[in-house]
Amino acid sequence: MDVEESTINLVSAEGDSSPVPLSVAKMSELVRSMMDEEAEDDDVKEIPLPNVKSQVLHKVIEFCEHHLKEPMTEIEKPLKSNSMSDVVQKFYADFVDIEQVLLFELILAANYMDIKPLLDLTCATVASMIKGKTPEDIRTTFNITNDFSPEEEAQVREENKWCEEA
Amino acid sequence: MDDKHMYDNGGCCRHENLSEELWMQILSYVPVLEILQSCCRVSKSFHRLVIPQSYWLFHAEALLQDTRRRHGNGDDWSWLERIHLNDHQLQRLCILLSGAAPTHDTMDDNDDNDDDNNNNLPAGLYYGSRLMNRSGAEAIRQRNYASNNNNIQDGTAFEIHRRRVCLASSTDNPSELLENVLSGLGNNHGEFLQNLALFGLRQRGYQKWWSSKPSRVQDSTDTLLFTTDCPLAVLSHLKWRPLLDPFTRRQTYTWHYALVKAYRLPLHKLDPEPTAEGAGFPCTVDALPNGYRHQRTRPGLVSDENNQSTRQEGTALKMVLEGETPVFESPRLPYTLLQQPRQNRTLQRNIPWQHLVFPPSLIANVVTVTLVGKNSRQFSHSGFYACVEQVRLEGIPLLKTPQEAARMGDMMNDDGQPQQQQPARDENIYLNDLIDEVINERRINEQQNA
Repeated sequence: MDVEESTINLVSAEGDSSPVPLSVAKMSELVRSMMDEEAEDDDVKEIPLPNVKSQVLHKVIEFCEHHLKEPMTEIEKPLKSNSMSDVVQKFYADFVDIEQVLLFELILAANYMDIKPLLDLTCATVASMIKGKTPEDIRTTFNITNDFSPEEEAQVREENKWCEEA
Repeated sequence: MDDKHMYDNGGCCRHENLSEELWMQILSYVPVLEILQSCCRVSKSFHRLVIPQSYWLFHAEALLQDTRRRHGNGDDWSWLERIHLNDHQLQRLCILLSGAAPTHDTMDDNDDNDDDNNNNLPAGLYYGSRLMNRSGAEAIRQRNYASNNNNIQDGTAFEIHRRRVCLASSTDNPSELLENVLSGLGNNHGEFLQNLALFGLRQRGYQKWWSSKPSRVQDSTDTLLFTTDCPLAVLSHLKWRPLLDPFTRRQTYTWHYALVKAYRLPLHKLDPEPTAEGAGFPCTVDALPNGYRHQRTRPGLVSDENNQSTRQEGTALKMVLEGETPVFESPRLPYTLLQQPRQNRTLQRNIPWQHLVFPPSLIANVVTVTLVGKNSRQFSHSGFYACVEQVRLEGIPLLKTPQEAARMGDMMNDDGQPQQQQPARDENIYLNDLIDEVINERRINEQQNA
């Protein structure tokens, strides 16, 4: 006979409450430590996450639920490919095929909630957007202004000239 | 989008919202060469991120954790902070850890030219042999370094230091010094192949090798010590092979097994003047132990001097390693030839190397190979010998500054092979030569007067 797993509510920045199985919630070291701290209080049913928006929290929960079923393969450093589908399973590659804004929010949420596999995945995804790109491409990708003067840029290039003859 | 504004830029999370620590984590997935060539030129904030030494320490640790996890070597990387590498050295270490260097799989056992494997490496890393070439090693061995307390008052004895880039615990005779196993210039085997005249017969054979002293018992041990051509190097491979008897070409002077150790010796042990500019290129060790007073021989009896030096090597080797703890110790590495060369013509042309792939991130400047046991006698009535024909040690120099990289560049010729070292500190050589001349002249005069 299956025993229904107890759940806990994760409360987003907007105040939305999402019921989550304990095993899923405990993938977050933050949630785990908060639960441990208040272990004596049996009535702990809600964990406030004021730094995580609802939309992001839903993605986080989706990741954790899937990770319990199919753990993500370790991502090798440095990345061997620009395509995340070459690096992780399809679900995870699709999971991070999202708007850049949401990707950065996921990184912040993973860091805040201390979910290592999610942080690895999202960081590696941003890295895949950098890998193989020229400085100009990187600026365009992340909408970064080039604040170097031509002389300064030439000096930086000179600093690392020793490694340019690959 | 009516989300509560969480970020300063109007609720839109952008790259500026990520902390430096998170960007460091992101860049740990980016190949190191791309960080140096592209990322640091994106903007001043990117440049500031990847300039500090702390960044490269973080990156190296991240790569070490990843590399060691994949190689099953545990997570003990805490030594990295203790050895105080600067950012330039850490960058080089990161490039190696990130897999830019050739792997053991790409090494060709039958060819000494590994250049083809290095296409992905920047020239400034100088991946390749970390041993001095034979000519340079010989030039260093011939040099005397005068000690600070030269004593020429009695006219018969004075203290000298004779530096070596390799030492053996025993050497059969001065023509079989360990320097013989180092690579020659250019084509490594070219210098070895000589036409030898033996008992009136001419045959092709290897002219140079190192030989242990003969041992009455098979289970004796010999240790070979090699220093790197730079103060610190990330070592990747070591390979060595026994000598096929150059005369009969029917037997090899092998050993039961070998033990390899790597050491990170302090610079003062590896350079007679560690404060000088360019100290430690190449690393050398004192071949004459402290307190050993060089006894002069009569002019012309150079071989006596060489024999005496040869006898001192074992003591010198022990003294160099005294109190030093190895940073790496190999398991037993048995050397087995499935067939004897006398039965196999292929073996007669190509004796297999014994290989060791060092664990990732091994940083050292001295390597020892201990050959345990001896399998062959030269003649039925002679003792047992271990003989080595050639040793190769490969890796990447961990240079402190781009200027040192330029210095390494000066040491290389167009073929990527180390050039013969130009004698440095000429004043010492000339001083010793002058002392020799003065003493010889005085002796001759005294003899003539007598």
